[in-house]
Amino acid sequence: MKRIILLMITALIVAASLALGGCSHVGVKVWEHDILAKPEMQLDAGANDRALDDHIYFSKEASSGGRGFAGGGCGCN
Amino acid sequence: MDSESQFGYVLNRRDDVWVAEYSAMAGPCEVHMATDRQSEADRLASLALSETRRIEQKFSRYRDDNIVHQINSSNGEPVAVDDETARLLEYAKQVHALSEGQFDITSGVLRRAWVFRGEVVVPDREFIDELLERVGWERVTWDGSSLTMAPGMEIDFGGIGKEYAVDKVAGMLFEQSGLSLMVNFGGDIRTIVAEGSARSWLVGIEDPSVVKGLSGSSAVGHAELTNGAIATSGDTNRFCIVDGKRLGHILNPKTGWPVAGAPRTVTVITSTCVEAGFLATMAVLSGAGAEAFLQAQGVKYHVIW
Amino acid sequence: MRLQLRKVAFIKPAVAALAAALLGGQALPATGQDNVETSLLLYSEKDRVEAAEGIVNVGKMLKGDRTLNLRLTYDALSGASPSGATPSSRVQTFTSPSGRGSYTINPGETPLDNTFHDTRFAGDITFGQPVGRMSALSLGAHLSSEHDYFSAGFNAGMTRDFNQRNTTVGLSGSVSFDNINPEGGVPTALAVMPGVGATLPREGSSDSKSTFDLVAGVSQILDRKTIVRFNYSFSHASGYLTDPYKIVSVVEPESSADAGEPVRYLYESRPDSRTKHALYGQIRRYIAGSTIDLSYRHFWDDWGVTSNTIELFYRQKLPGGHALQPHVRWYHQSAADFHRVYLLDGAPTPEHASADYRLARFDGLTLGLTYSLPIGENMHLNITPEFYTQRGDSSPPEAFGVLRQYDLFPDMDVIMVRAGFSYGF
Repeated sequence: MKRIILLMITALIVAASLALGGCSHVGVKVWEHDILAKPEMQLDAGANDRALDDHIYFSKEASSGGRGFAGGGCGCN
Repeated sequence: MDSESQFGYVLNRRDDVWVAEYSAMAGPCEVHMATDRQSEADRLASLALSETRRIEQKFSRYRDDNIVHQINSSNGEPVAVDDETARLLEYAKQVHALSEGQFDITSGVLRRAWVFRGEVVVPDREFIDELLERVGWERVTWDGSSLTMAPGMEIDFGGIGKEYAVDKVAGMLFEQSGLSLMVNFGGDIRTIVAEGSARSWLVGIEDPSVVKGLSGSSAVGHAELTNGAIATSGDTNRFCIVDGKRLGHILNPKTGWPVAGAPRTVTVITSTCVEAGFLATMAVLSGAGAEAFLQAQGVKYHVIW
Repeated sequence: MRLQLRKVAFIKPAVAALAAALLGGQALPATGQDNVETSLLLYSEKDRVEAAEGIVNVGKMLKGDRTLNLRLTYDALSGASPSGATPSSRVQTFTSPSGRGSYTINPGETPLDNTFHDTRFAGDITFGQPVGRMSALSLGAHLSSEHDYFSAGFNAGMTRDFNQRNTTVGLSGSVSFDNINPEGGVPTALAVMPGVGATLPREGSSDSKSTFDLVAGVSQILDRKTIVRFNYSFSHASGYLTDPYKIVSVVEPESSADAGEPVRYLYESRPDSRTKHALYGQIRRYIAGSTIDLSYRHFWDDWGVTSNTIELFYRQKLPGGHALQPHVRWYHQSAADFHRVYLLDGAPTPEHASADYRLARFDGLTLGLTYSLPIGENMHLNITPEFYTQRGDSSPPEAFGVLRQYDLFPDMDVIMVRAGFSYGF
């Protein structure tokens, strides 16, 4: 459990440092979000399709998680 | 983190609308959005800013990295253009014909012969005649997708660009949100009211050269708009004096001279900003006949002589 | 001026028409703030399970920037599922999970439990609330119910934008409490499957498990056309994690004349806790009207399973708002430490053993093609035929005797069709 917590903290630090430090020169101005504002550029576009996929893979494979929660809440695995 | 500078615009709540303000197109820009949701206002404001900057960068004559520069430095070679530029050029061609040559996007070079700072000037007739050699849409070859112009000629979307941007931004925001909204770029305004909404936008015409939302008290005229647009042509501050006569800054592309006896400003209210802008400019070009022209068109207007 | 003396022309209609042409395609109908999305999935494994699943998702904007999302899922499946037992040269008879019936499997065939059928109903509700201008909070709950399974849980999450909204950091957690009521009760781990009519070795009628999940992620805009995302997900489950319907064959040892033939069957046994980790990276880029999305996931857990997944989408825009999106997914997993194709008669029984093919080493491949089209104002339809296959080791090195003659990991081929409908208003 200790190792896990350590890992989680590391991930958060990496995320935070990406957010606050290293990336201050990466990216675009707020008014340059025209392309990224398109529906097909939304990372959670097609949520229903991904939910169906995740349910299938959750019940047919030993892995889950990554994109979202790994939990299942169904008796399919 | 929440400082306004990082957004590029300022967002404020005014009555029941969110108002985004930013500077672009050489002046103040305002976008009024009838929503109580700040995140939606934020999203739309950044889209508005993005679209405004895009149009500004693409059609500005002051840049050396856009299609206008490419055309103006083509040195007699044909230049193939993208769809949006083609639509603007096609529009320019059509209004040139409709105005019998008075509205001409190649007339910008004539400004080099004039200084409009309210001072007495002595026009250099020879220079004007020289410049006139480089003006005239009829000297342009435009086939709908590529444009060929004699060396020395220049095009300038100055008389169309801002109105185009106002309509474009308003249309885009409505398409994105379905909200009632008002876009105001330095007095060129487009309003949209969502279907089923009882809202109307009250616009005060204050100073002859500035049309603003009804916040000031110096309004000389009011307009209540649902789906409509306002554009103003002329500028009380930009004129010169020749032989004791006041001449405004709008030049007749056929003579190279300002229109004598023209109103200082003409404000037209109609359905789109592009249309209002063109009719207002045509009214100024009609000189003393400005009001007759406007009455013939059957549009609401406000003229300052 | 000479010009103004002319008769004044009525040009307004012509100007209006020119302006309309210039602004072309403007003032389109509004896209809404509320939306309804429905999806239907038809799933068919060759010779095995058939399933249908439907999802209705309603998103609603509330006053003050709040959002509410409700999702209802219904699925039904039936058909045959591998029980975990090995094929044999003899007819095999298995007691059904209820203990009241039996089914037989012909020589050489993979034992499938054809009593497999279930329906599931699930509901999720999520409430979103902005916190200031740069952060958002979400709270949610879920319920899921099957005839032998019930799950309820809560989740909460927070996102925050940084760096001119170029960076979004998110953290969310979820807890879930599940109750399992297997048909015929909870089998005793590694107990022998009795014959029909005999008392089943049971630990009780139900058991439970709880799961704790965490996802920490960051998404970053790289340039005007590119966005990337990295997530780390953690999941810890404890309680009853065994599949009550899976069994393991105990076979005659190599020294026997009947080497590899089953002697008896044991109910499988899995550890009572599992910790999963996944690292996920995704990049999406817009290329001249098309979109390309590449993602990679590395997964590992304390059951010894490690997997890698690569997924690629390419969305090609077609005229008139249509789009075509081919999609490929490649998956590879290693086996769980306690995965056994069989157990040997006479050898000591391990603490945990499962012959579930889903815990074996295998590769998965998915190929799909989505076609989406507008069907009306703010209405879109999409349809996706998809093929999914799993290929494992048909003759693993541990096969011996009669087991060498049979396919111990038959290919699983699935044909799926998804149809989705979305409406914004």
